[in-house]
Amino acid sequence: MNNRIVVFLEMHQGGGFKKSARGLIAAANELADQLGLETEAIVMGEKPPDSVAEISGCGLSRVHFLKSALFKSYDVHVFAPAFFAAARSLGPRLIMGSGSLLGRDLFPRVSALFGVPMVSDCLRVLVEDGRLKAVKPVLYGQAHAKFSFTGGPPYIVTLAPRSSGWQTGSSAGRGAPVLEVTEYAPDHEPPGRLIAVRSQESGQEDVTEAEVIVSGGRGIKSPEGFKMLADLARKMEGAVGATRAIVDSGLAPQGIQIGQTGKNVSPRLYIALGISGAVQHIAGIRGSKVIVAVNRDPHAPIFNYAKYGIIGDLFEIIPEMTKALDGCRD
Amino acid sequence: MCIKGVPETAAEVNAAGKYVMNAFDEYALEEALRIKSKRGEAEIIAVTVGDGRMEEVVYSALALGADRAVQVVNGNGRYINGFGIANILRELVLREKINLVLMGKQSVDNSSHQVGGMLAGLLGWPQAIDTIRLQVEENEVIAERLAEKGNIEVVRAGLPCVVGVTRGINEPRYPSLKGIISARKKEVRRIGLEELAVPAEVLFGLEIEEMRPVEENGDCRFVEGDPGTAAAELVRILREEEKVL
Repeated sequence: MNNRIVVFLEMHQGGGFKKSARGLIAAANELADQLGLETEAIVMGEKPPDSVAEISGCGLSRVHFLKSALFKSYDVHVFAPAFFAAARSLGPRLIMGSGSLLGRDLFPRVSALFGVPMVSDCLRVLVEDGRLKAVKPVLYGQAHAKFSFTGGPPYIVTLAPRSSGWQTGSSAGRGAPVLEVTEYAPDHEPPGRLIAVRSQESGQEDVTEAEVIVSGGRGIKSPEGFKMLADLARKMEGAVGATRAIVDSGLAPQGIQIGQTGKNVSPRLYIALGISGAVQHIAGIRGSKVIVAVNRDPHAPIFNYAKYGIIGDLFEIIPEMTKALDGCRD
Repeated sequence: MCIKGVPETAAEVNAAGKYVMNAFDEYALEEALRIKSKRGEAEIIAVTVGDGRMEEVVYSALALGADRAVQVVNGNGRYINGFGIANILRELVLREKINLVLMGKQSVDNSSHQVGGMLAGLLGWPQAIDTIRLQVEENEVIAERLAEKGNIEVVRAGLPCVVGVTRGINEPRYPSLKGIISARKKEVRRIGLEELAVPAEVLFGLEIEEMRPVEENGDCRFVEGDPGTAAAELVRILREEEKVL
């Protein structure tokens, strides 16, 4: 017993694994190698994927697919008990998922069902002296805390979405995972249920999942400015983000607010346009790999966090950046 | 409704600064006040776990209009993980026969986003975390929650249930002078951690072994020149040197 690491892989509604899958498997495998464990995945959906080629060759031995019409849309009241039952039957030492919007909602309830604590949004999970530890940002991102589990398994962690540490690993030499499909039948009526999903905004991927974010602050000023920013984001195949100030001014929707009362993001590239860099905003972007700032004020605090900066007028620089992207790719 | 006190945003790492109410909990309290004014008969109990620094946070909730408060006193300040907090709240919810738990969807300082879902899971209650609109009926709530891709998910949950609210649900009020004066006359019940039947291994199932301040980058490389030149050079750096585009 307890010789497995179980990863929860999210599927897109139309099929296919989410981008987080490979990183999760890579992180799990690194730990599995150190601890002498096997990595297996649980996937939930309406119908099993045609192939698991997408996630083969990265060290996963088995994929348990739970199949049910109930999994068409995510609902915690359905997903949590189903995942719990499936994971428990595998006798896991460690359970890992993504700290995506779905993972953030699902795992706390799962952790309660297991009766164990969890660490959310980890930057690193490591083994020291045979014990499992997890590092996550605390205190508005001003510090990283290393947590150790004092109790017994299972240990539950979610990984910060898109956190840069997870992209690299690939343990070769293991073949395609075995796909096992199980029909799921709930044993009781869920206490609450999803009754509708309303598609609201642009349909862009969630900012927490984006690898590139182009984000605007007060300097954006007008709908024209915001459109200019969105054009640049599109050109970079990135997502649009916003500060609280421009959400409050009505220029940007609540769902893309980044910072203390919005979302925490950790993209590969974060471009801050007309953002002064209030502590509350910085708290949400500290996980970014490269931060770029464009601001007319050379003393804007954002430059203390940025790796690259341009001092100048956004309305002149943004279109030039969009133009520069057009030129000579490779 | 549940409140977490958090250090003021500007507080330095490890400094025992002043505590203020978690911003998301302000929305939860405001929502509770609005529900009460609509439905009349409700009693709002502000519930919190913490040490002496929580006193002012508790009074600010009472000043805003909570009817009374229960403070679980964690005397020695040892770190209690989210699952431990959820277990404490479970005890209080059952003792006080609470019907609707409102809280912020997450704390602003550590942002773990755990306690609401854990509490609901422990109680076997339905949950709606990340709620941006809430309608409370006789026996159920209809909650609209922020989901992926900016979608809104509408959840129907029978009472009792746990709702975690997010920014955008309302505009919190400021305390009135009358509220501030009456706050000190309201009941604050303090309960020692040891009086609750939550085992130590649950409370302290996670230990903070080490805490490291994150360094500011501090060495921004400024890309200079006229807008066209600077923009082109920046794009080149991001592509060729950083390989992030």
